[in-house]
This record gives sequence, structure tokens and C-alpha cells, in this order.
Amino acid sequence: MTERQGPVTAAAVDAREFENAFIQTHMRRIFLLIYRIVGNVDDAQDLTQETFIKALQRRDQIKDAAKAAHWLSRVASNTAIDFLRRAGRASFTELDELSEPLTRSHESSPEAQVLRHERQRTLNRGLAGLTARERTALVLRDIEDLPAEDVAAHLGCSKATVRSHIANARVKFKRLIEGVRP
Amino acid sequence: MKSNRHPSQTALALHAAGDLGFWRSLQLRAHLAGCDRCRATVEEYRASRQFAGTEGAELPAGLNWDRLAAEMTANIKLGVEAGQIVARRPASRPSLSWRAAFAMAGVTAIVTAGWFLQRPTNQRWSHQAHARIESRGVVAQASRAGLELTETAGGSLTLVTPRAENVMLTVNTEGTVANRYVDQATGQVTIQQLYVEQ
Repeated sequence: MTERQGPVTAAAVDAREFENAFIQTHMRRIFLLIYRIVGNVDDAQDLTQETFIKALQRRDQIKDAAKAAHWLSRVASNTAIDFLRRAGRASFTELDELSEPLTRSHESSPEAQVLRHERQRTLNRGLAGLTARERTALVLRDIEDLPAEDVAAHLGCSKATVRSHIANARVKFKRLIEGVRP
Repeated sequence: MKSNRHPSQTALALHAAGDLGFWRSLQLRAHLAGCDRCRATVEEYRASRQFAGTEGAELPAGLNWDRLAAEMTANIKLGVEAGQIVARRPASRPSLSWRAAFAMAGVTAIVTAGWFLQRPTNQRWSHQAHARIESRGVVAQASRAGLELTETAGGSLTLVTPRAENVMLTVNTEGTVANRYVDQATGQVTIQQLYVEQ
């Protein structure tokens, strides 16, 4: 009986450790990726959780740690794009509209806080003016720094199409943040 | 060779991060070498890309990440566990091994054989129009019209089954006649039995 329980318990512990490490390693990056696409913390939180649950349920596909990050980004962007398709459009929300418990009380100096807030607002304004495809392409290429080929694979379109999305996104983004960038 | 026509904004935007094809990039570089305005535009695209990259990697201002991360981690674990429970459910369905199946088949055979040997042999169901039994001057008969008890001395008693269909008559050698029928109006099944004491 003990002999049989030993390996099972060890496997369960291993699985739990793997789960913890996997979540801790990738959560911030995946949350930010989704947040930049959907534009608000509440949806980003739900979709980040959904992404990790999907990924951990198919953990046999994530044995290779090097490919895990890439694969997870793909799951995340697809989850976010699916969400936007269902929801119709992204809903960009400023954090000061959120409930108080999410805000941090021990932020740096008030000036730094204001500057940081302004920069984030400018970024959100630039991203909000893009279509979902353009925004996703820009986030993956310019924020995640993925090669255009990988962005095309994420979005399930040709490299020429993704180049067009990236170019349009950069032109619009630059126009939208011009003059308001702190 | 310098071109007098300015490249499109999309070409400049792609060139800013090296996303333009080789030949197109070569042409554009030649143009940029002699065009301050386009060079400045490319720099602006690089700056806005850098801004997106830098700010995009920052958490939203004012977000309590530790708290949010803890909440998400707990929810993820809960979700994964719930998924595992759902996935395990079909596997936990008891399966019948061939040994158990063989044992069950044996028991069924014994029960069937026992029932066959113990079945009542003195009773017959019939679709015939008439069933009759006589004992010590008393005749009990069953017909589609009903049950009738007649004494050879003259008296009789009749139990009528009006508007009946699917009438089954039974004669039992132990002195019973019975009919079973379905009432046409109500669909009710009625069984009537008449005993003759010997």
C-alpha cells in the first residue's frame, strides 16, 4: 500500500511544483500581453486565468521550457482575440476608475506617480485607437518583440498581411500619441 | 541613386524596426541618405516603438500586482483542479471485467433454470373463446362474455365483462377459472377469478 502511494504522492508534488513555477515565471508577462490587447484590468485578469488553466490542462505540450513561453503567448493572444471577437471591441479603462483595493498605497513620489500615470494613459490612448488585429500585431511585435513571422503565426495570417497590420498600427499609434507623449 | 519621391509612411514605419523586405529596404536606405525629413520620420517611428516597448512592459500605474497575482494564482489552481475532477469522472465509472461478467452470466443461468423448474405447470392461458371446469355438480366456465358459475341443480351466477377486448381465459386444474381483459373505455386491465372448492 505504502509502495503504491509513494510515487503517486511524489508525482502530485512534482505537478504542483511545476504548476507554481510555471505560473510565477509567466504570469506577469502574460497578464501584460492580454492587458495591452483588451485594455482593462478586469478582463485581463479573467483572460489570464483562462489562459493558464487552458495551458495547464494541456501540460503535456509544455515539457520543453524554451517553447513554453512562445506557446503560452500564443494561447494568450488567441484567448484575448477570441474575447474581443465576442465582446465586439476593447474597453480601455483607466485604473483610477477601478475599485480601491487594487491600488497600491506605497507608490513612489507623487511626481513620479503622475508621470507614470500620464505615460500609461498615452500608451492606452494610442492602443485604443487601433483595431483589435492592429493592436495585437503591435503588442506582439513592438512590446513582446516577437519576429514578424511569429506574429503572423500567432494571428494565423500571412507575413504580408501581418506586415500590413504592423505598418498601419505604427502609423496610427505614432499619430495618436504625438504631442501628448510626456 | 537617390529618389525624389518620398516613401510611404507605412514603408518608413516598417523600416524603423527592420520589417521591410531586403530590396525595398535597400531602396529606402538610398532615399534616407539624402532626405532629412524621411530620416527624421523614421527616428520618430523608432522613438514611438521604443515608448510602446518600454511602457508596455510596465504594469499599469497604481496596480497592486502582488495582490492581483495571488488572486489569479489561487483561481488558476482552483480552475485546474476543477478541470481534473471533471476529467477524472468518466474514468471512475465502474467497468465490468470478463470474470465478473462470467459470474453474472452463471448466476443468471441458475436463476433462469430455477424459475423454469418451479414455474406453475397446472395453469394455461388461452385465447380460446371458452374455458370450463366441472366439479361435484358445479360448473365454472369463463368466456369472453364473462365468468359463470352454474350448479347442475339449476342455479347460476354470471360475472359479465362488458366492452372488453384482449380477453385471456385461464383454467386451473386446482379448480379455478379466470379471465383477464382490457376495458375499451378506460383501458383498465381487470382480472376476474372464480374458485370452485372441492
